[in-house]
Amino acid sequence: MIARFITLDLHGLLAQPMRLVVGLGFIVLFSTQITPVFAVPMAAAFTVVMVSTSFLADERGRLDILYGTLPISRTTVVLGRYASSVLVALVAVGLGDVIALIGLGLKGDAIDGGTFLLMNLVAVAILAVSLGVQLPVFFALGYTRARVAAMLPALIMLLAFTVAQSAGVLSSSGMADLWPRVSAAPVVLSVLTAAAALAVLIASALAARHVYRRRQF
Amino acid sequence: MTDGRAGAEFAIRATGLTRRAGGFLLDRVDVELPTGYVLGMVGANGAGKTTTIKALLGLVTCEAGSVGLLGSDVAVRDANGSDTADRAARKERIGVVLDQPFLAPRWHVRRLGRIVGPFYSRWDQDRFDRLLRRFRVPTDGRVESLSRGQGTKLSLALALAHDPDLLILDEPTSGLDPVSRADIVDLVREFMVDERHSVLFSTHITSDLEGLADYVQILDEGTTAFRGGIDRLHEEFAYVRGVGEPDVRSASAIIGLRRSRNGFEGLIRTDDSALFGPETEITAATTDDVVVHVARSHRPTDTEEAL
Repeated sequence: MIARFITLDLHGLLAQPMRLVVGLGFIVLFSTQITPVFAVPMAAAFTVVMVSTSFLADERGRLDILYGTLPISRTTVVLGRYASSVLVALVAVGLGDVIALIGLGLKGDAIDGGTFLLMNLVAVAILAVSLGVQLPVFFALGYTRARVAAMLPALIMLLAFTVAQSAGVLSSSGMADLWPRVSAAPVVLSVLTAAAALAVLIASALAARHVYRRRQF
Repeated sequence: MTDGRAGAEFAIRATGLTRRAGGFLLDRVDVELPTGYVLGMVGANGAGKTTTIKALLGLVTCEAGSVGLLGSDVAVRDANGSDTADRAARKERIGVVLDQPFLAPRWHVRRLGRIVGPFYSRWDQDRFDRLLRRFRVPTDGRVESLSRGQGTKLSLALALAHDPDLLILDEPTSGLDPVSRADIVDLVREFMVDERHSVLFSTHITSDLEGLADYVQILDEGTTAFRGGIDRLHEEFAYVRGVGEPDVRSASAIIGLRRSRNGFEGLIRTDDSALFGPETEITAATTDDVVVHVARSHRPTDTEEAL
């Protein structure tokens, strides 16, 4: 049933092709203005926005009532939404990687595997924190009432990003300086990041299940 | 409401549904629908019809009561949002239509079968397509492009395509033109040809229930004002019209008394007919009469002020 719910959920996202095209264009434009590898975390940020639109669609179409009448449990709805969000995130980050590689190729820059890995880990962190916070809030309150609170992590990260960029950390040379500090154990770092992200999402899903079971429609 | 059919299998058997939300109280409402029958749930807007239906479907929490759907009985406190496989399986046999579709506006109509159908083991795509053709619902557009009537017909096609045993309709004819309303009522009649089927039909347009409903439940301000066979409703109530002013005893027997320059009128229980003299006209009450006057009886001051 979760697979069926994911299909239903993705229908909602794919029914808005213009939003996807605009998001993609934004990633390309933004990353080429700074450095192409930023397409990867940008894709993660884009995913966070896309996932929130699923809740907007729930509200506009009264889909929570549809879910309540389908022969599925509320747990299936929660797990299905998390799974479809992660699926969208994987595709988006993969797309971000491709855009970054094309951008680097067009600019004639060297492809630094370390920087690439770092950007992917940053993307995973952005996704875990943002989705981990926003999904339970959306499940508890719905899109309209939760959008400001749910977007807070993304806004904080955007602020951090801006500060880091102002400090020069996010320039090509800044990145080159940063990587050696974290490259001592790339595998350990990757595993730890993935494990932490998974733990955050599992805890978040449990919280979302708890609040969604009590939601009134 | 058993009317001699005690012990029959119930499509719906809910007892003591109680829910307080804001200023509204759903107060110990019972709902019983024997399998193979149609229950018309009537009442003014805000009477509690939708809340009752949502409580039956587990969409809202009740503070007390129990809900049995298609043979399962669950205390609502335990049932709300519960994830039992049994509860989900029951929904496989229930079709639901509300006053507006609960579908994403951007979804394509022709793809709905592929979106909703996989959730049901008894989904019949051919039946869904046939119903859309019969209702002339355009399949080449999005849900948002449909008129209100087309949206309701689409919802009905979705609700029937998985061959449900119980159909729950909440104000499906509200805001529709007479032809669309007749189409919907006709389809419900056809659905009821199968004796395993049952329908809960909530409406404030009581004419939709004429010749269709076997039982009627009148809700008013969150309480049940009447519950029983529709024949019993017509036997139990009558309509009086008289000239002048009714005497005190007669006036107290009139439900929703209305005074005018020429006289008075209102609803009475047939047992009270003897209180009125031969100069008073007593006729059979329609379902509408009962709904209107029961509702008015709760706010006599407003009525008198309006007059």
